[in-house]
Amino acid sequence: MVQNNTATSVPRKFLAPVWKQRLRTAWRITSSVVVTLFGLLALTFFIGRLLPIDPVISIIGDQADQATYDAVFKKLGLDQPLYIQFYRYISDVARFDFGTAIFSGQLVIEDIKRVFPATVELSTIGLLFGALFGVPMGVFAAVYRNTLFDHFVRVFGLIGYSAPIFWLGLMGLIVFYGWLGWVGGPGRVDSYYIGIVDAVTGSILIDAVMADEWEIFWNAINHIIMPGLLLGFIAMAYIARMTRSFMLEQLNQEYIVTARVKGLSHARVIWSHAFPNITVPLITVLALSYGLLLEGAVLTETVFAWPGFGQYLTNALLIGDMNAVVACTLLIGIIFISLNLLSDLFYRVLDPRTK
Amino acid sequence: MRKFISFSLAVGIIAAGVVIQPALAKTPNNTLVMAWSLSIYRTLDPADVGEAFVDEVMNNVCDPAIFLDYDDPSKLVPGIVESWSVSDDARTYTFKIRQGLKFPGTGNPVRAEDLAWSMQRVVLGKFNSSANLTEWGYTPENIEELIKATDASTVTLKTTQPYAPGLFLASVMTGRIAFTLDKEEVAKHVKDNDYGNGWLQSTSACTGPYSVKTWKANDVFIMERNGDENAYWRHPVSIKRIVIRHVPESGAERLLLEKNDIDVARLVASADLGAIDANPDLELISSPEYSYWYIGLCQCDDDLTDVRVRQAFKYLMDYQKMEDTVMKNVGIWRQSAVPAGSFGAIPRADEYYRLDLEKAKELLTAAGFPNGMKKTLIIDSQFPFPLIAQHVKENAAKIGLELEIQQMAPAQLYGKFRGRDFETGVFRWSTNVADANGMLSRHAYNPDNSDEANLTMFPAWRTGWNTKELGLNEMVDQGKVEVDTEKRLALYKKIQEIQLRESPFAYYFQGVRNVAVSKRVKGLKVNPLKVFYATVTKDD
Repeated sequence: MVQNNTATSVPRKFLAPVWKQRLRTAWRITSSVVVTLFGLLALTFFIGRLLPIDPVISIIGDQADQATYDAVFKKLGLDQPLYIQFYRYISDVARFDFGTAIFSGQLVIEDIKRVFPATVELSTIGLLFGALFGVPMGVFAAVYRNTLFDHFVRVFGLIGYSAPIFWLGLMGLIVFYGWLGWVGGPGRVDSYYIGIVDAVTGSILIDAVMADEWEIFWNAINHIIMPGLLLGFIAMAYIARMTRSFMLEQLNQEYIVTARVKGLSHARVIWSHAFPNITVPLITVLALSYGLLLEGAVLTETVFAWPGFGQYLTNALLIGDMNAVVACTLLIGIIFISLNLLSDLFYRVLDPRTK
Repeated sequence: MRKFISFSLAVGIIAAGVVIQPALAKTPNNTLVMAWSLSIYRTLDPADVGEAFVDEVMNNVCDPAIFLDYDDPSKLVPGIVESWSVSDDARTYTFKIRQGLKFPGTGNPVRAEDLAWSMQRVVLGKFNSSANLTEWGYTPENIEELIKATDASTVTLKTTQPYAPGLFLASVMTGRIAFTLDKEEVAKHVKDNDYGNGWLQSTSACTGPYSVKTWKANDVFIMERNGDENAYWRHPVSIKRIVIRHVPESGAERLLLEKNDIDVARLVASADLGAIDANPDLELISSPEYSYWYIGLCQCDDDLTDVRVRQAFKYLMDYQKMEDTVMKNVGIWRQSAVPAGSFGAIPRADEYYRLDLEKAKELLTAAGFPNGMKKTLIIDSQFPFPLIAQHVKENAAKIGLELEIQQMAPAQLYGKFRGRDFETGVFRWSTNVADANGMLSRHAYNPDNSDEANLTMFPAWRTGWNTKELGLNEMVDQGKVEVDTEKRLALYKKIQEIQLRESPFAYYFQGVRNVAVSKRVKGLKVNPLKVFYATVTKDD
């Protein structure tokens, strides 16, 4: 006897209209996002206030007198009870006012607008390298399991995981910039070109193209290639390992044996049958890698003097600049939520069963 | 597989073709490119500046009333004021403003009123630098009466009591508090009675060789010359543009310098100094700074109040060995509180303290601690604090003094120091005056030792050292007003000797400023207090 599934057993008139279902889904997602962000904001705010770092000293220096200290303490609102400080902060954030960063003297939102595109640019290049090489490497490592190539990919992945990025970056600079002169040094462009292109999007590559400054564009490419490759290497290590593991699982499935028995070519079995089935988890891996690159490029940014988000957040943390820290944390939260939503969306497109 | 390898090779070759661009030979001749850490800078308002980086660049943007000589910072040289005189009772100073000077942004003439107002606003606005004036008796209530323009080109400055003129002028008229702002222009941007502080956060409204064009934290700081090469009143200025790039890693700065992509590296760590020194294309300019690395012992801890315990800490350092190794090119050993090179400094000698563990043990035993003691030692986590702390810890352990090192961020470290919330700690202190008073008025002066007094600007208070009991407060005050040079020297010698014997401070090393430059760069002036860019020229 064939069992009916639930959907077919319920008369259609009892089901909510499609638009209502969509509205409900949208409401569920929105409320969950808002609650998550609020929780993140509250947690960061209170942890920040519990830190023993004194932001007033970061502003006035350690030699200032007490009167100056007290004036700045009051100016920052630190004389108020914690719940009032939080209420005020939340009220400001609701108006998209994240306050002024202590260590730059600028509005946090303006700072983030400046540093975030630099990191997006670098991380995107890194992810492109990572995916472009990592995915095929993982696929071939699985297909040619236990061969020399497979061992190479695994060792390569292990190096990517374990080598300190700071050291790798410096070595890369010494060899490819210092000795061979193939790539540009630290910074986004040579000293010649600093300040020539107006920051419209914040991405030096796009801004240079928009300003029709092709010389600067190529110089910027020359500078981004090394940190981009380095980040790409880290991402590639993870992507290749995960791709290999996903592919191995698929290659052991019966439908692959069937496809081979039917006489399909080797390439077709891999790329038309096995590979499409790993795209869904692979997208999650790529999304997560991108999120980690955006958030965690601190050391790469330090070695390569890249004026990005990671360095900004680290500086803010070190001096207890909580306006900047909370805003950055919120942005990281939004990035991860967006990437998750985006990968959910891709799931729906690529896997009909999730519809 | 073969296709994949071919694909990878093809991508690699294309990428290499795209990437490998002919490198530009070197930085332009009319531009000075410097690498430094631009992690923190928040305002260009001279009254509010707190960071070393902004202090230095503002010294190249704003001329003070009186300059300290480029090469000898103990000499006063006319600046915005071309001459000055002091009344016989040493209570009235009359300054004549240099004629013909203009503010570069607006073309407004530099007037006596601008200088007087610029100094008044420091105190009236209660800005960060206000203590540099309030310690000389100026208050929001009296400053407008005591510092004022008496005509278009004359500023009269009165003091509440007579001070040694040389010391007073060097302390008050040579730094940020005597930068002259364009009052007329700033007045247009005043908001909520802020004396233009908000506007000055991102604007340099003063007169000097350069103006600030662009500044972005963690990225770049650009200055441009005001007018042509001969526009600056003091001397020709060859460099048109100064670009300061944020490069927070010493190794990366060194590479950039070696490749001629920058002209000056400012963040050179000890590990890179040797290589730079050995490179014939580079030059290492070193100058002692008026700064110290020292240990402070909190007198809030009863165990540390015995003078013999304090002295024991001074015997735990192998001064010469550390100077030759860990502190090489970074610090020179010095035990007295007045830095070498400034007025009143006694000669460096190891007759006071040297590494002597037996003596240290003897002192501890005599103080009632034959089995030693256990204390925490708080330090900054950056170089060279951990290395100094480790050295002291190892020697201390040999006499039963157990030190537990706690590393922390500077804002946390100095929060604890200011709050008397520590037992022992390694700290850093610098002064901006080439006179013994600069250090002694903070380290040997504590007007009120009670907790309630909260005199956090005095390290003597932070450590709970009662300087009043020893008569040091009186002597420091006397040093400020003594006009006879010989008598002042004798007084400062006496204070330093008392300090060496009694103080809860063990001074270990005086800082050394290192600036690595390309051989193309000539004329960069590096002295113990400041670095000047306007004198630089560059070869092809």
